[in-house]
Amino acid sequence: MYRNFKEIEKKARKLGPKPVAVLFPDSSDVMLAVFEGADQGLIEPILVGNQAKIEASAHKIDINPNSFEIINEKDPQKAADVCIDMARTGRVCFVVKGNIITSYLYRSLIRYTKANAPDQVPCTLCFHQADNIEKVFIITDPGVNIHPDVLIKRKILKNAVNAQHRMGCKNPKIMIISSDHIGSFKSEIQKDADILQDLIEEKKMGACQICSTQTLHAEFPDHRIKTDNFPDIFLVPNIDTGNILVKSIDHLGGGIRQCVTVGGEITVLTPSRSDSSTDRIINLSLGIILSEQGGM
Amino acid sequence: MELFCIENILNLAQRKKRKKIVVAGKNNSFAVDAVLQSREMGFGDPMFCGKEFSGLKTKETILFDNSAATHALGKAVGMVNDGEADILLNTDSLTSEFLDLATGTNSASSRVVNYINIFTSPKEHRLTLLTDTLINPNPGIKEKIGIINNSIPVADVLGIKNPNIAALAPVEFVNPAIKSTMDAAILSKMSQRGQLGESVVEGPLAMDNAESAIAAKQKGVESIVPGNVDIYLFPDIESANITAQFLSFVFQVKLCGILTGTGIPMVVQSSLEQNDSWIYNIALAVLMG
Repeated sequence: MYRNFKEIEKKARKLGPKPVAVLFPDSSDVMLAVFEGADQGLIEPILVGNQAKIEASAHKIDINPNSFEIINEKDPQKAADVCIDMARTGRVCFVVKGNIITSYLYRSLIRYTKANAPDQVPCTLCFHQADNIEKVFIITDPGVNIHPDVLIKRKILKNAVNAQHRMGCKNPKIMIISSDHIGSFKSEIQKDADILQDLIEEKKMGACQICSTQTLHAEFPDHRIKTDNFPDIFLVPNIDTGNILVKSIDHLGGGIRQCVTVGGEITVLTPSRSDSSTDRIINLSLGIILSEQGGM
Repeated sequence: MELFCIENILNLAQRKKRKKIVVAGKNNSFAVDAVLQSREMGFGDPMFCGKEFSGLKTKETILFDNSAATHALGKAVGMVNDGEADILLNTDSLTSEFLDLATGTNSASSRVVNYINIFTSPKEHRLTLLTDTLINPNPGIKEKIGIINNSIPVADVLGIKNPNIAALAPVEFVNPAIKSTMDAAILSKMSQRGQLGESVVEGPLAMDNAESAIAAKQKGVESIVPGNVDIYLFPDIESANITAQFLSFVFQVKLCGILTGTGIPMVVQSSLEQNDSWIYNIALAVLMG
């Protein structure tokens, strides 16, 4: 189990370099991260996108683009499909999003998962580091599924549990987090939580455990968080909650966030387009840890 | 004058005329200590209702001293509605029965009621509002307009004039499959046409665009709101409440809060806040009174 992203970076340096496909690396931050990632022995990148733009971005920061293989594909959707296909065939260990909106990769990954692993569902897993918690925890799903029903939630949780297993957390603790509700009625979210709780307790979700409570104040009534009791996975009710929460953690709370999207045994790193090259190196390291043992 | 941290709310309340605060509910020691502190600080004049408060350490006059907590709460609401008190402090858990009681007997009964949390933004070091963190599970456009209208006066008493409001969503593009983006776009357009009072509403904004003008620009959002947000309007209670849970519990961000839209200032118990928030909540109600 990793206490922070520094430990993840340290471990990744021992496991690299890994072949990766980088989709649309045509910005200075992305190109710098690609170059540094290769230079530090983390990745062997294959660059996919508009070759002229890729070369221009490389020249802009004084990097020789000929040091890397480039696949010239100007159409963003086709380029995303090329990347996912390279992951499918095992040519690359994972895919890295560059300077492009995430929906192209989501679309490719959803299509691929539906066709090849219909029992799975793609979802985004956000890994977080917070100052007073000595472990990296996951919040899901802030990216793919808009209003997941309980069946989809079960599949999302399975992805998250697998990811925590890869991270060395053998028995991750899950919180199906919900808001406070005024009144004694049970919301749909709380009903879903009850079903998922039963599944986890019946050991139908692999090695994991579940919090009996669904809010942080119920779990930590004295307002003091302890790492040992803190959940390893938070399942949020919908995309609104997930997306706003994961971004609030770094923008309002001062934590660190790293996002990956998984599905059909394929891992796609989905950093924000505004992420710096330093953030992207951490993201690459996370990808390496998650792709160990043959990918997600 | 804009306030930069929630501690300053106390200073501002001290400049106001002392307000009569009627206290009812359970004998919550943190709430009682806070309301007594408001008296010492010169902005509160507490009156306790119900037999729950008969064992207080300080010598206080107890009104309706034979009444149980629920009954006393009803009497306390009546006192505020009749003008015998300025502020209601409910020390009990927030229930739908209380909301009905609090909103059903005054002229504001048709208004939307919402809860606003306030904290000092770590980047900008200024007061920032989050809403609705407690009351409306799935507000529609009509409710969101009410929430905005309730929030502007709270921003105003904190010295924030013409507040910038970020209508949050998971993405900055309008996507018919995601209701929050549609709602935010409508509110944003209404704001452009001057339909939302003295405020600027921008949306849909994802949190990273709301917090960073540069990130917003990269995604084609040209507006004065990104990087300069006074009020975060959340799509639903789950997104608002869970975000507030993380800020308060994981990041130990001090939150205070106020119930608005009730017509009379009300201080209620929220599990999102730490026990030392009561005094700030009381001070906020004094500012609103």
